[in-house]
Amino acid sequence: MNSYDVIIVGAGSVGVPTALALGEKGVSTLVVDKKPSPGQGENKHAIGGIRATHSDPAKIITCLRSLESFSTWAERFGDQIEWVKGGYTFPVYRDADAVLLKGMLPTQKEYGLNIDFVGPKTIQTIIPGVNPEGLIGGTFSPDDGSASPLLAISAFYRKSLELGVQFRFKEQIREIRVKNGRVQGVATDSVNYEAPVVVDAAGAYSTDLCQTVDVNIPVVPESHEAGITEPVEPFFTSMVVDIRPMPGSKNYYFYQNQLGQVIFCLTPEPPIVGTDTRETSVFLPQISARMVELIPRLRNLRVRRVWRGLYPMSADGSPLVGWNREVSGLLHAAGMCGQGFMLGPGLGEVIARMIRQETTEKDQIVLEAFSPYREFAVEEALK
Amino acid sequence: MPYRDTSQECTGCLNCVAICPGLATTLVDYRKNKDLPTVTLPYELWRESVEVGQPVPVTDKDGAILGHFPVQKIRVKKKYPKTLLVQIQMNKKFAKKAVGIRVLEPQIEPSTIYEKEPLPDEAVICRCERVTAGEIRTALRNGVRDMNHLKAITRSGMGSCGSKTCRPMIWRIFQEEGIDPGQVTDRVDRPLFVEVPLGYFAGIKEGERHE
Repeated sequence: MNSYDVIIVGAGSVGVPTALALGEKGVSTLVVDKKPSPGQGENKHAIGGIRATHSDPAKIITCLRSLESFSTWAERFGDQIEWVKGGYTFPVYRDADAVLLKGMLPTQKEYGLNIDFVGPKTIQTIIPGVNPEGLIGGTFSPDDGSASPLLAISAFYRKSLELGVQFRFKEQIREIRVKNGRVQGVATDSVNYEAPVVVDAAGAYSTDLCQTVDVNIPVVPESHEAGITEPVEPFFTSMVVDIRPMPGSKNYYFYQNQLGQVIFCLTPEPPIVGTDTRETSVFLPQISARMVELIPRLRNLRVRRVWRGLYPMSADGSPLVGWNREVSGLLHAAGMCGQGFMLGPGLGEVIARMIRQETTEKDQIVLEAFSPYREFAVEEALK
Repeated sequence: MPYRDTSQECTGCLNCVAICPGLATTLVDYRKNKDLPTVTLPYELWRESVEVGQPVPVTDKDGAILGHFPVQKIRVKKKYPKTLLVQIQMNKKFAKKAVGIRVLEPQIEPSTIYEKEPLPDEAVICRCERVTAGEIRTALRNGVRDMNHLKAITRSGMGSCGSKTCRPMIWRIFQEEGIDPGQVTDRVDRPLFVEVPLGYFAGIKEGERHE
């Protein structure tokens, strides 16, 4: 039988948790992906940070729910996903950054985020060896954390299978099938799958997918590079985000995972637009200089591997989630702007409630902010 | 390093044959007999098994036997006493192809030195991350067909070596499990291939303090 209630395109950071949320509600669901196994697109390029430290209430709400899911996964289902509740730290060296971060605190606290601006002494305790020169302080949100994207998606996948969700891998979707303005399903080169609802969770490839039904999704892929070191004795647990701009880069961030490896990533400036994910020779000199300047003792830590992944960017740094107004039954869950891993579980539940028409008041806040038909006027401060 | 003085004619002193640690030099001497030159081949192992008058199989660079030729003379240079210089006379057609002698008959076949039994479950396949054959087998039996997925859930191939050792062994387990190789997706390799300190990329020289 090739007939389902819902077809999700993309077995990645958003598609798999959405499938899981639908499976939990007993909705018959099929996930189709062109890759050979779950999480082989951009999910595995994520470094694993999970924060509710955003400026936008919709992201705070969504990620608080994600954090609950990640942090309790091992005790609920037994899979180890390397969850570490290490918090997020934004060390501050410039007055302007202090003003920016302090300005967000009231909204962040209003929506339930545990966060405060702390002094330089506290920052030095959280990040041992941090450069003290000019350190003003910074924000610390202790309930944020990190997990392994590789293990997390495998765990979500395993649980989804258990709940009866079906997956088809190595299948490239040729088009979304539409009749009289209503979604009928999807077509691959060899087979048609039927469903009244199609969820676009194709990440960086959403634009291509939606163009098959003449829908233009304003998502432009950019790429960021990341790297990982050898494992060493754990000496800090927080994600460290340095938001100072430097020639060639905006912010960069890193943390030490449960195994003791330091994982790091940098936002290039100007952005590198496109879907090329080959490693570059400029990334390591750039980020190493910045990391070693911030924490001099990192200079002896050896880099093991680097990679580059895509950030499907929207105009304002927030995702596009909502029903399409022209094609009935097409549900967008795209343009995660590099935050698919942390938004995934929370968003998956919202999407499942949309499909079941059970959305809550909080969901409405999220869906209004993430609407594909919004104005794209205000830019997310911590994208 | 010894070098050949090209301003002088070769005197046939044989030092070049004796000195090469890779036994890669042979000397073909046409001076006494143009059609049946004397070929000098270096030899170091099982020295006692080479005797004057004994016919020995002479091989080319691929190990193929050019023919059996009686040993004419065995010489040893005082300065390089461990290398026997085995001299034979060969037809000029083959003389330049000779690179060695085969003293022992082949005793092992490649097929006999590879294990035929499946690796035991407790055998460590990925040495960097200490992943066993059993763990890999379990994943394959649960349906894993993508080496990248296998890496994600077992960490096999995620260590410092970048899967230089475990990749072929994992392929072997796929085969032992009867899985069609056409169904298997190979792993994605990424740099770096050796681990390098962050300080090196940051431009800090060895021993320099950065405070």
